[in-house]
Amino acid sequence: MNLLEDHALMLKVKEGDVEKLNLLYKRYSRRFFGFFYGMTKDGATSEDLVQNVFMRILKYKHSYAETGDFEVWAFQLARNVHKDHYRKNKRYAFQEDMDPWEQELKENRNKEIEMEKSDELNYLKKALENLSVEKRELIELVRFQKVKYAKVAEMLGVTESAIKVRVHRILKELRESYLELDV
Amino acid sequence: MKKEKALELWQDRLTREISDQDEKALENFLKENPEVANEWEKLEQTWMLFDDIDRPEPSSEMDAKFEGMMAGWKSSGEQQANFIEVILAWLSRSWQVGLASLVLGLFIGWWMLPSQNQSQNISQLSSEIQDMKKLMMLTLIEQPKAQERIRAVNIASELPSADEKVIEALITTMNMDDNLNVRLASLEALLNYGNVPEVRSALIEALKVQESAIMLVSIADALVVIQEKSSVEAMEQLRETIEDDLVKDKLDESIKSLTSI
Repeated sequence: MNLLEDHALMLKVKEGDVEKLNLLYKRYSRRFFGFFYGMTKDGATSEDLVQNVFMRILKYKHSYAETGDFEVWAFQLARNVHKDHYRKNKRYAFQEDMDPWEQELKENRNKEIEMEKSDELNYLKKALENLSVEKRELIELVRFQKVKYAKVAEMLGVTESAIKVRVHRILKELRESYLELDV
Repeated sequence: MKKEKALELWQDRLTREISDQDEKALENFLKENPEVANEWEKLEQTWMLFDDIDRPEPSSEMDAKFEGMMAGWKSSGEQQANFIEVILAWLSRSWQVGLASLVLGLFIGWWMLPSQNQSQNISQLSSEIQDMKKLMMLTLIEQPKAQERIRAVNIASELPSADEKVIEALITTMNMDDNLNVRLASLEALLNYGNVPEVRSALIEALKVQESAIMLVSIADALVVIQEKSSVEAMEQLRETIEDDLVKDKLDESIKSLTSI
């Protein structure tokens, strides 16, 4: 990991050397995309949201602390970007929920390919989608984006132990949920 | 070891953040609690299953958009604002620099302000231009070509103030010029100085001198425009002697207008 370098690069960006953001983009854009895709299941939207994160990094660069952790700070921005997007599109998401069949028709080709894979995997994905936004976000950060417990705890303002317990419970809920679907 | 502690270590092992010592302790706990071990093993399978979930890659458009955003940012005013921030930060760093900048600013302002001498120079220059125009007009008005004499009359119309020589030249041109167009142009130029007594009396006198019907009609019109009542007598005298019906009608109309004021 280039944690120290990330921090040094971000300090350069803060000082006005915005060119250094190119390197941070190379290191983090795919992770942010994965996070947003996990949350929205929409590639185009995820790309736009990644753009928003980097826009916010430039806009709020002055607020980056000298002793900061870029990964924590940037993922916190990403979480906020997603929250704003979710708030704006709540009604749209609700309409989709009202008609699952219609939603099914909208699914992209990726989903069709995925359908060919094992049922277990598909049930797990369904179970993941059925999780609340907060729980899905936690799994996204810890499991998919591999952000360390301590950092996620810092983002959420809770203890590291609390994060581990939460992740454990979500894992349990997921397993029960997809086993039910399997029946 | 308590189950809560074991659970934390087990979570650490999932994310490979566990030390060898903690892993041994966890193994011991799991051996002592086979039911928990069994349950957690299933959860671990679920955890491992996540690896098989494919995520699509972003399109190349995402990178292009980012590059566009960076280019836009660099050329935006935001960067300019930052530049100003840097300057302000530099200035506020020490009071000596701030004071020196203030003194420099005041000096530049004082230096840039137009001085009284400069405004005097400007008015002098303006008056010199006027003089040149007059000279040019007086020269042109004596040229043999009618076209040039008309130019002279036009220059006279543009002059902001009435000048004795100019008015005299215009009156002479109006009465004496061979070309009717030049005479008409002079009359028109003289109307600009309608409030000058010499011009008013010259127009009245012109009724006695002019022979052209068009000139007489135009002068009658001009006298009505400047509302010169004392011209009625001269008009009546001309009315008695003139043969042209058009001029007669015009004089009647003008006399009527002037006497009704």
